[in-house]
Amino acid sequence: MILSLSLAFASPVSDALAARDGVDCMSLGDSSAALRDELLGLTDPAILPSSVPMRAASCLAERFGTDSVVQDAIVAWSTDSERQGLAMAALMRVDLLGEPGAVRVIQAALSSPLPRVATKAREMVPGSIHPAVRGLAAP
Amino acid sequence: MMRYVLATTGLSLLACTGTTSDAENCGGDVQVETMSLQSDRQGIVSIPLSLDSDDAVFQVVVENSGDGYVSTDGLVNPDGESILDWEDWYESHDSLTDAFYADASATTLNWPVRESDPGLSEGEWTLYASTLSDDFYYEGRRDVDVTILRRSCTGSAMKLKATIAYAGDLENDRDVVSATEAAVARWTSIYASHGIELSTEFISSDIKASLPSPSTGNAAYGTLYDEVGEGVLLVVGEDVDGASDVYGVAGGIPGPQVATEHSVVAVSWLVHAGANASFSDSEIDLYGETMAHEIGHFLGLYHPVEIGWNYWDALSDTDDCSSAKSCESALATNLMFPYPVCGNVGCTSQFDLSNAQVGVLGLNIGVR
Repeated sequence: MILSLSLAFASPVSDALAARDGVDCMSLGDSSAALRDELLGLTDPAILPSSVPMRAASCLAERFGTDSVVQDAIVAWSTDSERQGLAMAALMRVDLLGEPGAVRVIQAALSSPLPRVATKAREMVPGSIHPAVRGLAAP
Repeated sequence: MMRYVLATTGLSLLACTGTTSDAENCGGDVQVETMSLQSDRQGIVSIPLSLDSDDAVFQVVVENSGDGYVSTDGLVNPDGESILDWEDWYESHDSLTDAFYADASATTLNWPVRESDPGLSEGEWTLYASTLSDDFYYEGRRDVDVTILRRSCTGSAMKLKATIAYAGDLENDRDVVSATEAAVARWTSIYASHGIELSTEFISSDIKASLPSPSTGNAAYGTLYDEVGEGVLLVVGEDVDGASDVYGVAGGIPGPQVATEHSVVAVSWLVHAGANASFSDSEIDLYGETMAHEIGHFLGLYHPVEIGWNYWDALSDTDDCSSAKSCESALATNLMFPYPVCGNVGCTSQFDLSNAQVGVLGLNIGVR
């Protein structure tokens, strides 16, 4: 039996995010508050398959990284054990958050009690395009 | 001259080292032959294939020694008949092999692809390839390295050797190792249900956990494959291509089973573990299905239908559906469907393969 898609998981955006071999975030449509909010909704950890919330987080960083609403969400994920994978996905695109946003998110992640998040933040610091982020490297 | 115009071919043998050796057995042998060639003035390489009467399958891997791209143009049998021509497939909505597409520094043709394709016969065959510049113009006088693998058995008892390599220090991450071993068991079970006996080995590697894309290629993959030597190589990392939104990537359809920059399948543990970076049972199942799916690409399988619903594989027994609804209805349980089909309580298991899909796997040089 083929399970039907839930209402919360039946949009073209969510379908695109489910592809097994990857998706181009730019293919999801024009940048708009509506797309941002839809992507934020798709970061719900309960949504299956697991690629949907992960790709939503990644596309949020890529498409809306300088938006304070998105940065607030990433900071919150970095200390939430149920959303630490989202934080890691966003951290991989931290340079797209703009320098002030990147510094804010990296600082939050570096001080996270979640080892995977803190480790990912430490990995991202040395190679950042932003001098202020590279300046956060431990001496 | 652009890729779209096929130039006159010409013989271009520069040197043939003739290093034939026996590899893993299959009741018969896999013969390995290497040669160095150069494309002619028009950018065409003519590759001589001397086949024995008992040869059933070959795989030819052509690598560009420098910058630029290389692609497969066609195959001619000893009677001078064209068996395969890229122009018949390049703009087709049915996909047979990536070998025609000049998007990498190596091109891999495994022939026959399908059980319905013309078989091999004893004699002198010729495979034509092209060398192209970075902007996809034919470029002559380019050096290429060619490896020819041939095997004589027909795969009645299909076996595949798979090596699973942990990148970074993931072999020390107990959660990732436990989930990966369970996922490999799922992959093994899927292949066994289609008559393919998978033998697996786990190793560690020096590759960083943030994996390069095998599609783009990376020298570290060639080095690692050289150490492994044969079969398929699956690398487990944290992410692929710095994206953290890709389950896995295969180094080609089919991928090369000699040491090149593209000779691996890369998978991300993190994307499978999902938002909480911790594996549930259903996520482990999906992880294993991704391994089976991506290795399926590496062995020559396309998605039965691509998202967009207007490109299909070249197999006769996979539905040529034309909408998301009809395709999910017909193919949601197929291992090679382009995405997992999920609902409120879980995802549909994807393990089915059609007879023609199993036929493609059985004809791959690595399945023996």
